Amino acid sequence: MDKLHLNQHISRRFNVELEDVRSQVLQMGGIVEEQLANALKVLVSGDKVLAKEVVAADARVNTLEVDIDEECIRIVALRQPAASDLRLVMTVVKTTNELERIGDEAKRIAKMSSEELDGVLSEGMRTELTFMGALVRDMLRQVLDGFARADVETAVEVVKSDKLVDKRYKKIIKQLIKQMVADPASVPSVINVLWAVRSLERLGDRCQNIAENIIYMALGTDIRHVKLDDVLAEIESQDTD
Amino acid sequence: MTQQETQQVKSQIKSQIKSPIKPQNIVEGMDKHPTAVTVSNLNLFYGGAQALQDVNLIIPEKQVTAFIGPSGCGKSTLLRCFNRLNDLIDICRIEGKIVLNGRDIYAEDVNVPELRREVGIVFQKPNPFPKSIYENVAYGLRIQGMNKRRELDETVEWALKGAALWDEVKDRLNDSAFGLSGGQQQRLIIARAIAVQPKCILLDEPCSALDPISTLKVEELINELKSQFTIIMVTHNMQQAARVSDYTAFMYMGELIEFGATTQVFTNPRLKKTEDYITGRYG
Repeated sequence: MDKLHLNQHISRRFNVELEDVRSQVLQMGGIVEEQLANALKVLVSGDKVLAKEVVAADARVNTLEVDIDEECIRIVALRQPAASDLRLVMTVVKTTNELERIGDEAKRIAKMSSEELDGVLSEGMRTELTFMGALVRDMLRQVLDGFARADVETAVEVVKSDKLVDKRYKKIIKQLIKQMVADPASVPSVINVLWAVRSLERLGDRCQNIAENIIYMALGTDIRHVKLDDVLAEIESQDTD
Repeated sequence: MTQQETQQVKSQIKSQIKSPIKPQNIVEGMDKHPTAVTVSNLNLFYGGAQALQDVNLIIPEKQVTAFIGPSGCGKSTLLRCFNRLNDLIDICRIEGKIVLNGRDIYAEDVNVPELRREVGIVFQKPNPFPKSIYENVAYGLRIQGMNKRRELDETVEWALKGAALWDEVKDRLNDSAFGLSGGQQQRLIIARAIAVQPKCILLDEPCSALDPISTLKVEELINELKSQFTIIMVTHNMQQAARVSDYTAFMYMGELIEFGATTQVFTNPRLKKTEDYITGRYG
């Protein structure tokens, strides 16, 4: 993470502490990435054994969240970080919270999808879900990469990607609603799929939140609630004019 | 969208994001406060050695402005310019202007003792006079011509209350000032400074010689005093500058590197040199 010059403090111990906490976040991110990948497999296959693995991984994620938070509190209390160091610690605290929630959503997807689906998923729907899942997986991978490199451009890409996820979500919901209207007997199973898809959409939002945190960490500018979407839309419309 | 267009969008967003939402050519909040002191093109020399280089600065009224920087950067030298204490150093030469309340304090017709009443100073080591607590505060008032006992009593009490010392000394005003603790002595010095109704108070590392509790008491006092006086302080303690001040000026090797709202300087400094200093990447 050369952009934040983590290893240039006069106190080498402080260098190590910041580097360690950053590494722990990436470790947590790795576990959550794997959780999500497995949950997406369960979404289309209904594999109950794999679903149990996803649920079990959540305990490790929760433990890491607590450990990282404790380390951040220690750093704030003992080091009183300022400027970019302070923004890094704040971003770590917020990011671990988002990652923990992503883990929870992955767990929910796995649980919902491993319920008996009675073959409600058509081939077309499986394709849609696979595509949406891939989008969200890419967002998570990108945002973790962006955190590792404190990269604003990558973070902006993730924010843009969430719009695509939202579009897919709306499309899938419409299709599922049609299916329930056409086949009322499928409603209990389709509702499970609905919850899983909702979780996917929420995952995209959480990745966007992490991306906003990365922009704050790198630039010191808080873009939450500033409607970056509107900024993007305005710039894109200026380009097409 | 083509790759080129995407790149263009990204660059535009980046430049928009890098320009913060509020314009930064105005130091945040400065427009809310009148100006107390303006420093223009200030250069100071000790003989052949230049200690201050082209300093330009606006000190807002009734706010706390902190000067931070490594040892030898010129913080105390700049502070002492505001009440012409550097005049006492033979080899010291100044170019440029310092304007206080519309008046260049280095103009030839300036009454320097009157300036030093208007701009009081508190040093690192408390320096009470070898007199009683009461007389330490009353001394400056007597020099100004106040000699009515009742008026002196009221003003001394007002000043000691203003310095958060009254309750601790009201029953022993005739005791020697040397009998006070370090923190109490420093607050006595502050009472002595405010008794003569200054416009500005200079604090040169006022808490360096004090224990943590006394330090906190003096910091609380500084926070209360700013409602009445413009305060400029030098400190080596960055956390103190962050806690106490409204604006922070970072100096390095005689130059003013960055000046801004304390929150902004300590969360998102504009310049790498400032960032490196306050994060301990050099010192």
